[in-house]
Amino acid sequence: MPVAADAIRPRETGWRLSRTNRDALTGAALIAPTVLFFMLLLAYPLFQAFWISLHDINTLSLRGDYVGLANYVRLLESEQFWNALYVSSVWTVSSVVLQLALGVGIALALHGPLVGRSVARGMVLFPYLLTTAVAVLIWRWLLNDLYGIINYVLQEYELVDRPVAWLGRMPNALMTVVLIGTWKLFPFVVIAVLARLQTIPLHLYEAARIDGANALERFWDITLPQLKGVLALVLVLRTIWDFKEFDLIYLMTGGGPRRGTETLPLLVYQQSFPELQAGRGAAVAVVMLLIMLVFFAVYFRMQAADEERDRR
Amino acid sequence: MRWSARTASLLAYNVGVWAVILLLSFPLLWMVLTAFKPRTEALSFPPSFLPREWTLEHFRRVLNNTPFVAFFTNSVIVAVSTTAIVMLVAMFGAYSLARFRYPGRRLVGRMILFTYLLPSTVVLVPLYLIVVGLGLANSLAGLVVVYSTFALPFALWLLHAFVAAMPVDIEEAARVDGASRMGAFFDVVVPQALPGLISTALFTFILSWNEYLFSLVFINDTRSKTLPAGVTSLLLDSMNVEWNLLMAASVLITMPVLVFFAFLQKHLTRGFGAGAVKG
Amino acid sequence: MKRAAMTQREAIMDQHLTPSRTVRRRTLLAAAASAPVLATPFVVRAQTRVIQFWGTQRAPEQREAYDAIFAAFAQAHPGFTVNTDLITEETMLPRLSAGFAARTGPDLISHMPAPFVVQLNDQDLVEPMDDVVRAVGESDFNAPAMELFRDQQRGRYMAICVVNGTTPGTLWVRKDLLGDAGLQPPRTWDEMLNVARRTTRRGVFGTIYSSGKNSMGDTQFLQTVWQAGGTIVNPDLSVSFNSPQVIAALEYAKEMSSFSPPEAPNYQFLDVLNGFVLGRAATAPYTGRVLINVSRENPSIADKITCVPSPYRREGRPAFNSDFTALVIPKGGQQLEGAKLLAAWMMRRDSQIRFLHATPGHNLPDLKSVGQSEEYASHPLLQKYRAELQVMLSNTAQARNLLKETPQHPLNRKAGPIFGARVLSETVQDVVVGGISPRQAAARGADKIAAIMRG
Repeated sequence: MPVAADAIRPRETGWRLSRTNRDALTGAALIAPTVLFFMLLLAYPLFQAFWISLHDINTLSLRGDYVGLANYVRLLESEQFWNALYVSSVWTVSSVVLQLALGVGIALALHGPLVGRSVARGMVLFPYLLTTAVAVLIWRWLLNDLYGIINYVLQEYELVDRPVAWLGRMPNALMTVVLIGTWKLFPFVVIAVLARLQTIPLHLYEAARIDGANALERFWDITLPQLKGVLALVLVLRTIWDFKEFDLIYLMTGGGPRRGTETLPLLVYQQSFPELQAGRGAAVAVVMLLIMLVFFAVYFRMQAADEERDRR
Repeated sequence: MRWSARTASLLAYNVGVWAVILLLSFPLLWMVLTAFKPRTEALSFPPSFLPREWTLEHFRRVLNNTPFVAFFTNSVIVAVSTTAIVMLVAMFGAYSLARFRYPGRRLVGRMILFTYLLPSTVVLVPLYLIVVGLGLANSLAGLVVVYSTFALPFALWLLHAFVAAMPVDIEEAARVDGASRMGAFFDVVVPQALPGLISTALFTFILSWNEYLFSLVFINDTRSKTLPAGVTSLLLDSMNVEWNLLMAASVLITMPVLVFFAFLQKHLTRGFGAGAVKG
Repeated sequence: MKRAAMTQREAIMDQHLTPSRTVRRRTLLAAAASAPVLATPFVVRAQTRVIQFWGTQRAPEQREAYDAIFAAFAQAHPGFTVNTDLITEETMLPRLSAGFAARTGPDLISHMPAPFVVQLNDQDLVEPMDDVVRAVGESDFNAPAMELFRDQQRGRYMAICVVNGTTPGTLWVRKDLLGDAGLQPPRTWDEMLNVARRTTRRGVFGTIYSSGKNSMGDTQFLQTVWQAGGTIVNPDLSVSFNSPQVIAALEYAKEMSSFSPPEAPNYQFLDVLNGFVLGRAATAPYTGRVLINVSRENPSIADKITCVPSPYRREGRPAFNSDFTALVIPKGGQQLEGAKLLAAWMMRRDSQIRFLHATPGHNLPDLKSVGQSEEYASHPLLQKYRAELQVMLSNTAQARNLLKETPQHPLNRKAGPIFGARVLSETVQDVVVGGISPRQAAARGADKIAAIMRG
């Protein structure tokens, strides 16, 4: 967690202790509702998931036997799991990188002197806003090999002689899914970054201009450092969300062809529902959680090291 | 007319950016155009881009012959309630995490984020059991509870990032002038963080507006359904898609929010904060 | 009646609170959640009892049909009303799980595929429907369907077949396109491949062999295996997937795919239907849904279409797959009596015909009396395509299911999990998309199926 500016410094030494305590209490009181929410509603599913993963349970009847770590062993021995892990990694890394790149670029563009800027900002939000089921439907229509406009145009201009199978072949399917995922989710980055850009004090730029800095230098020395906080956060959030993403990929390809787009969330769904093995599905979910934990432990350590360096 | 280098680059910039935006919005344009096409044109081959005939019948049918208005109302109720609750709790929480010192502060923030890492498939039944246990089965209130759960962690973190990015000086100045902690919060922090507040509120709103799986599972009555669940189960069949109706419904679902956001951008984020006129 | 329902519910709860080694249901419910659930009084309206009905057939005409049927039911049974919720097939599973867990599930579900019904029954989650069978008349149902839904162990019916049909079993053909190439509608695989080859040209595909990772892909290949003369499992329930017949089936699938649209491995029901209806395929397997969509979306080919039984391998046999979609009364509902009355009502001739006529040709009757009635055949679309209707009815009458591949097979309880794991369509995709040899793919598939059969 990025360290905030130091807590408000107490004014008088004599009052320090009780003031700090009162501050701490206020602070704790302010965070209390959040913690309450968290305890009631997030902790329970978490423990339920752990508990179920230790059993061989039928999803419909919720009945089954305790099997200890058998589900995990089975998981680690299955090719399907390692394939899903690989696909999840490719999907998450590509999506996040592309979303950040596209998002920051567009945010910067929308921060400048653009004609009809508000309309543009509204339009950019559209992919994120559209219901996933409808978005997938539209894209499947556009990419369809028989009546989709994309293949039609490609064939009309003789760029290909047969329709392209965007989703029916590998590696096409994974690439297409990554591109469409990027299209659907990048507005989140745009909005967050744009909001941050809007709070950068203008006098910083003016001072730099007076000092003779050009556009690129102003971007590098002022904009980028100011964006660091939000970018770091957006990276974390988008990674979590993209790693967990289910609807988009499931509706688009169902995990196919073969298992080419079967990510870990799809595997969880596959085992929990069509295969009715809630225990195995929960085991995959818990493994997903552990993977993310490791990722974030490393990430926060790196960030803490960064902050130490900055402070010195 | 003599074109200065500056005007030329401005023109290039505008054209370039708008080209990219139109390209990215191509499906939106297709969606809107299909909503106005007569039925037989929707799946025609060769595909037509502009409608050969323009018609309003699909909008009429969606509004008059389907429970669309009920779905819309339900979605508004759920989304607005969720946003209000989450913003309130998250604002205080974010301020607490950013400006106060107390033991376990870091841990709390991280724990909240970590529990967030379970895929929705696995939390579905446990959350349903909780909602039923609270007596909220088949109700919009149940959805508000669940959506608040999903939105809270990221709202908290996002707001925290915005609050933490603000210089402490102004707040301190206000405190020197005699304001209390909470007074400084409302008078100084909130106005400064406005773009952050707006975008966080927007994300929370969109999360509830768009949420599909839980709405489908938690609500049994057709009349109580929210937009994504209601519209898709109404107009999407495994063997038949009512294309024009679906596109008309989608236009009606997305346009109000887009327009509202554009409006907010134009009016609320103009020239506020520490002199960020550029925004 | 209310008291009887309460005791039954309590009995179910006792049944689920099994001791020691198996997981107590209670332990899965946090105290906070479970106590209120058990204490909450169930919604009982003083005047009317509401029957919760869930279904997956949600086309506008079908909704209207349901509304009409249920309104008539309410009128004939004062004190009962029906609350209808029509949802997608994918949502049905999570909905049911949540419903079973919290005791907020439906009273009656429609259009459940037979393998899934057996899975429900194995977990003891369905109510016996013998009363309904008796009310309708046991002999009126088609025998194969009744066989599948008979729980031999407990000596009762777990469900009844509401309507039927076969999706891969009927092959639609374009008379004009075949005629132009001087071809007759195919009856065997050789003829089919010839037709597909000769009618494929720029803009038109000879056929659509769906290899999607979904129910259509699975049942399409299952049927192909049968047509090749093979089975998935033997009558002793050992795996027979690694066999020359399956390899022949995979080779056929591979060749058929070469004449199909390139996206066929990603095709869902809708894509196959649209491909044929919009005139981009010379042949395609589908239900009678084709008739409706053609008349609505592409009337220009309305007089150029006909259908034939799906071609089979000369060394094999004619074979057709059907889902035997069923009406099921899940345990834990609150209106058991009402559910049975409603189920019986839906099987009445007028209800059946009303529903079947909503999508003529798509759903076919399972009840003999309905199938043979003048009234059923009197729909204009069915009148126009009289011959085609007969072909479809004949195909459906011969149809079988993975639950019981031949009359000699016992019930294969693992049919549901085999479909759930999508082994069949994955195997086809291994060959068509992955370029793996049919021999190797069959061996792989056999291993997966063996693992599922073992549990």
